[in-house]
Amino acid sequence: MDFESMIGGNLMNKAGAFLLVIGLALFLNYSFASLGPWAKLAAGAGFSVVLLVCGIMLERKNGGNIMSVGLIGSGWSCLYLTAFSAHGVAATKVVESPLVGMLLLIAVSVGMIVHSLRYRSEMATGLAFIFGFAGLFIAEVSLFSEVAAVIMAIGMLAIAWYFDWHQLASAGLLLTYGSMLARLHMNAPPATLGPLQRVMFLQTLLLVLWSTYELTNMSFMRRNPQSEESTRFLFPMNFVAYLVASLLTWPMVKETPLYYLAGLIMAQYIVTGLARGMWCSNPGEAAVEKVRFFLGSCEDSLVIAAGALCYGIWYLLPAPVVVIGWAVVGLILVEVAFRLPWQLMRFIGHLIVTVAFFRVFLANLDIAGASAGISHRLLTVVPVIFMMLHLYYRTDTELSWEASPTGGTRQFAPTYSYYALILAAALIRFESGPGLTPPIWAIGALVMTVLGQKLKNWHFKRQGLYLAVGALGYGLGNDWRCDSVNPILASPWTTGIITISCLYASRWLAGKDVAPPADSIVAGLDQLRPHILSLGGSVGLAFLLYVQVSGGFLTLAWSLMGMGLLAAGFMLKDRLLRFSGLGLVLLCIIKVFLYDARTLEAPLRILAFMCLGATMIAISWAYTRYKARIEELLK
Amino acid sequence: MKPVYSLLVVLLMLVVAGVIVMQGEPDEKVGLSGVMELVGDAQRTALKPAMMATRVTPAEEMELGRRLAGQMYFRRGSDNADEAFRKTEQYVKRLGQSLLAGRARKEIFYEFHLVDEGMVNAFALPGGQIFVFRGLVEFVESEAELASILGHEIAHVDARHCVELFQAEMAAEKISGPLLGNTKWLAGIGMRLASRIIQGGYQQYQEFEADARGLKFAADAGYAPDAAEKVMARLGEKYQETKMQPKASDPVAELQIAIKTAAGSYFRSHPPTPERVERLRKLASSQIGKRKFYIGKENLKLRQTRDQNQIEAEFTSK
Repeated sequence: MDFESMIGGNLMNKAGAFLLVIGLALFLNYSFASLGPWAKLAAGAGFSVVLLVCGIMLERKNGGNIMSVGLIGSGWSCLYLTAFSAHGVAATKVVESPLVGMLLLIAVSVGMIVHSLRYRSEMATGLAFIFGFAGLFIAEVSLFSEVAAVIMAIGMLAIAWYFDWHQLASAGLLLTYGSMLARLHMNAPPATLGPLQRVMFLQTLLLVLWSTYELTNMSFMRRNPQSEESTRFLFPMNFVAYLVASLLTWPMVKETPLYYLAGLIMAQYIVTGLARGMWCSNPGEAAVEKVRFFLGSCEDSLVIAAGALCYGIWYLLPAPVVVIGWAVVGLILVEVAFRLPWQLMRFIGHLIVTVAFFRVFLANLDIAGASAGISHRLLTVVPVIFMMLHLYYRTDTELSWEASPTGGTRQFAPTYSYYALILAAALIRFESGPGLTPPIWAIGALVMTVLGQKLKNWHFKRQGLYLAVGALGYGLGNDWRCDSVNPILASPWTTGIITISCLYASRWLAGKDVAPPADSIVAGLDQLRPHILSLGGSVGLAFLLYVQVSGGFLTLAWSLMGMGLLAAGFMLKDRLLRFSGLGLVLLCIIKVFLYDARTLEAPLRILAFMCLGATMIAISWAYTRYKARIEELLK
Repeated sequence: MKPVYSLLVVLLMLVVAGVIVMQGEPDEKVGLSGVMELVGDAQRTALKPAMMATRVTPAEEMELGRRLAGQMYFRRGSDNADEAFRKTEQYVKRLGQSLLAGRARKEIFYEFHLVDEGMVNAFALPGGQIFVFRGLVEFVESEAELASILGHEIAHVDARHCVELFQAEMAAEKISGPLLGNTKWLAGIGMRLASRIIQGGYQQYQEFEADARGLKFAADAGYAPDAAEKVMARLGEKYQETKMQPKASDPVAELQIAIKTAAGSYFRSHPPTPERVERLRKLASSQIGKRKFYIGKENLKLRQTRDQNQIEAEFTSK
């Protein structure tokens, strides 16, 4: 088309239509003073009909051109404006009933839409629908107006699907939700309805809209699963629009609990999720495709439903039980996703379980209450620990992320064993108090070390080390004291000796392990594990003696302990034990000169010096007497 | 075990546990107090070497206590000629001394002071200086209740909670003395601030520990262990501590409230009273029923300790 034709034919035509509409508006304005309402409307309607008739005649004569389309478009616009004026403009108001006014507009809109379909023009039909939706603003929000909007949306989508108009469907979604929100914003839902009825009123409308768009999305997917058209975005658009519309309209019925909304959303997503699973091919099954996220799937819907369910659980259940509800949801998601296999669902399942893990620290550890004589802390945390262990073994059987075509989550497996350990350790701390924590943790450390060796599992061995270090820390922090009512348990000797024995036993077991090459910090720690346990035991024992033995006797006790460590070090070929023994003897020397000599009474001071002297002579004698054997041992 | 079986077992455990908990009255408490307690444990362990390195001798501690007690400008027995007050003071001293058998640090000599103020309070200073306010003696309903409070204050001293507040400051002044001369108190103040911040994390733990050990001191001396819980509950009512917080609107808001509360409670020296009552109840329940305990309502009225006037009717049934 040359420039002249474009100016003369195309632009002039559109400008003409625009001017005509303005002219009609000016005419109506001019006629305010002289004509009555009916006359004004009749004039507007007549003018519109003239435009339409002229357009149609021209179209028939010339086979349809820009001029005729412009005249027809102007005609329908003027007719729509006239119909609107019959109720919406005070100067021309002849229709008192909002319902009739709206029906009039809908009738014009339907005519407009039907006419537009003759041209197979997505744009023209879209414009006609915009006018149609705009007409709904004339009436107050009622069941009728909203049903009309929904029917119009269904009609629009049917047309879009029939003519394969993707843009109309996508833009229509925004138009539908947007106009509905705007209407509801301007006119609150009928006050005569009760809270629950209002919820149902709004939610039913949104549900129908949402289902319609889901259905359209699925229909387009079935027609062409590989489509690159804009309708592939319908799933996330519908999801966001529905959720936003639900949340924005919720303040209108705020006296109704929010978990109703969560429940409704959950139910809807489960239904359509299953529909997607049965009716549509699920591109998510094939591979990790970015496009799948946009197309939506059964998996996505079920994941969203699970999120809503988690909210409902949080809202409905007492605080300590929430973690159990979340754990069940997470566990089921992981299991279902593991079998299908669905990657997103698996990740969300893992996420929910992780959130449940952290929730324990918020609502389950520092709580009171008991049922059937068992504390609620124990009742709620122990099953979660078992769930973590189950997930550890379950996830450990998967392929890794790199090896699996559907993105395996095997790398999460160790995390679950640590989750279980942390929860168990925290549970012991709160259930038995800080005083009894060291011996129980130390026994746990020994058990983990044994399990690690039996199952050849380095994670368990490391966990044994961490528990042992924790037990030592707690013991030192509490001076090995315990507030138990049982006098045997309350004694520092009991808690200290149990803990220290377990540390030494773990060290003995750890000595049998062949540590992996120290190519990382953790692996480096593995190599140091026997030494850390050995040193921990020695520090713990020295501190226990410090707490329990006073004055000059402490020097004696430490001297004997130093000798014992030296002997054990030679027997077990453990250099660190020998160094610990020598270190302790050196500490005794410093203590004798700096503390004992200054503060102790004469008999104890003498005892301290004599004991230390005898110890050093004994050590020296042993080194000399067994020089050859010691050198042999040190090789 | 096949994964499906372990899944079913775990699901069953979760559901059964949930149902059992729902049958009771689950505590709706949500917050970071548990995490703060664990953090406090870690802080306490981490500070242990510093506390040991700066530890003072019992003689130094008692000297510090006497010095601090001398700076307390309260009206005491020596300033008061009232016979009833003097009798009450003697009663408190005698009762306090009767609770000392189970203490770990025998080398500390305890002194009990009655303060002539109506405030319901008691506190301890390093070296065994225990101050009890007249208002507290009037507030308690039995000798066992007073014994539990005195036991609590003794426990603070015995577990070194009091002296540890001053150790870092004293050590800083000692070390900086040659460098700073007369201004060594600056180092002391700096260290005091630092130690208050660090020790803030476990001050509430120290209160729980003092509650537990105080109850044990009183119970070992034969006083009813549930008296501690009763007097604590009444103190909570008197100062109107609320137990429940309104439920948050969503899980994120719940977390925000928990963080805010935790941050605010870090420097709170005493834990919430309902929590203390709950723990004391648990501790007391493990002792009750094993032997007879003494209550001593009449003894309190007469200001005569159980040692002076043991009344058979004041014993609980076994």
